[in-house]
Amino acid sequence: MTEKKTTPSSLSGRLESAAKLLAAVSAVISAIVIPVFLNSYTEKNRRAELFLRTMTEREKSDTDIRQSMFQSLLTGYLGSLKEDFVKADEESLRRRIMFLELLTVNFQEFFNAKPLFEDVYRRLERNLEAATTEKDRRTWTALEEQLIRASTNIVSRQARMLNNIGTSAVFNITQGESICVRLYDREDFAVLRRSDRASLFRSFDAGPCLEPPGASAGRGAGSTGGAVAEPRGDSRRQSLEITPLAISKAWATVQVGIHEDVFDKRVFTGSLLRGSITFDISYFDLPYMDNTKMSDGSRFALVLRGVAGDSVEIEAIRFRNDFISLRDRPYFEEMIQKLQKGDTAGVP
Amino acid sequence: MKKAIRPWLVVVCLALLSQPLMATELFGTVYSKGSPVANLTVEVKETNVKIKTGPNGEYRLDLSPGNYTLLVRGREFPVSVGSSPTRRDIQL
Repeated sequence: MTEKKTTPSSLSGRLESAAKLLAAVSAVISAIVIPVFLNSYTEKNRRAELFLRTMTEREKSDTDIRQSMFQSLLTGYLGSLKEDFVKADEESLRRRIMFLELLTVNFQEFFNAKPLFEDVYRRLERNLEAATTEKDRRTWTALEEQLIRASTNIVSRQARMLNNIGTSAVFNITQGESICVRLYDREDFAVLRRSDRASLFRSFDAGPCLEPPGASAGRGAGSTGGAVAEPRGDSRRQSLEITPLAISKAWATVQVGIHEDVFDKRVFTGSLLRGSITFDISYFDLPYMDNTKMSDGSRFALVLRGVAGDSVEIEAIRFRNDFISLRDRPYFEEMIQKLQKGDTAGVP
Repeated sequence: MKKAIRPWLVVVCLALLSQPLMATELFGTVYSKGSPVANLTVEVKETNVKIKTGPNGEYRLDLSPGNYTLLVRGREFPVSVGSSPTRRDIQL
């Protein structure tokens, strides 16, 4: 019987051998690489879960501490209020100021204590008016100043932080006077031009904000007047026309007109009054809490910085709508960054 | 001819002498709690000279050299103006 010999040199044989060899190598490599990859992926997932769990636990314990602290402080304040309801003497008011300061310092992003501040201030004012001796007047005045200082310390810090992510202008304004505050971005003041195509804008102008010619006539004519042509442009900015209507020791009533300034290729084409609101601003307004949203999605806050006779010093701050209070930002951003990078080296 | 010129010369000299000394610039910035304040009146005491601060709290006044008192929000700030531009920042 003759043996049939297969020649390994034939092409198909070689290919078949190569394929078998390749399959074997691939199987070996896969057997090594796939578990390593799966292991690494699993390890990353495990670390991310551990990190999230740790962050969650930390947030939870922080929240529990704050909840307990808040409850104690508020109970203490209301308890003090209940006890001293009739008395309202120096000691009881001093205690209330202390509680308010503690509440505001620790819970400024969550709790608006303005009504409580104003209540204490009104009591102090009543005591001051009823004081018969110079010593009493000095006592009540000192307590008023302490109360205002407790609030303005927090307010100025909040204003500074918001100014870091937005823009602000500080100005002096007399009762009955109007000024126009331009809440533009900082770089806008270098590039935007007035209608003469040459003059730059300033952050404020004395007098009312501009409107397109005929706009006031159109409004005054009511329904019988023809529609005023809206200025055309490719971009818009916000301005505020601020007029103090009344000024007292610790607050002012202001009328604020919100204007939309229209620009065409960075040249001013007109301004439209989008709304007018009247409200009180006081030393006890917290810009984190007391702010107004505008049509472009940003927010503005007015901070009362001082009262001098018939004029007030106001800071107008504009900031982004997506601002998150500072107490949350570090944790929130840290979490998002670590999730995105997959870096859990910082896991405690 | 000389007699005709003399009266005119006297008049011109009197007119020149009655003019104030060459004015120089007094400038600066008004700050309140560390921030420049716009639209605040800066007044020179016992004169009619006053100006409002600009958007960055800046002010500029043309004054003859001498000693003055600036009034800002009822408070007094002494300043000495020399023959060259003088800077005086004010902290309220």
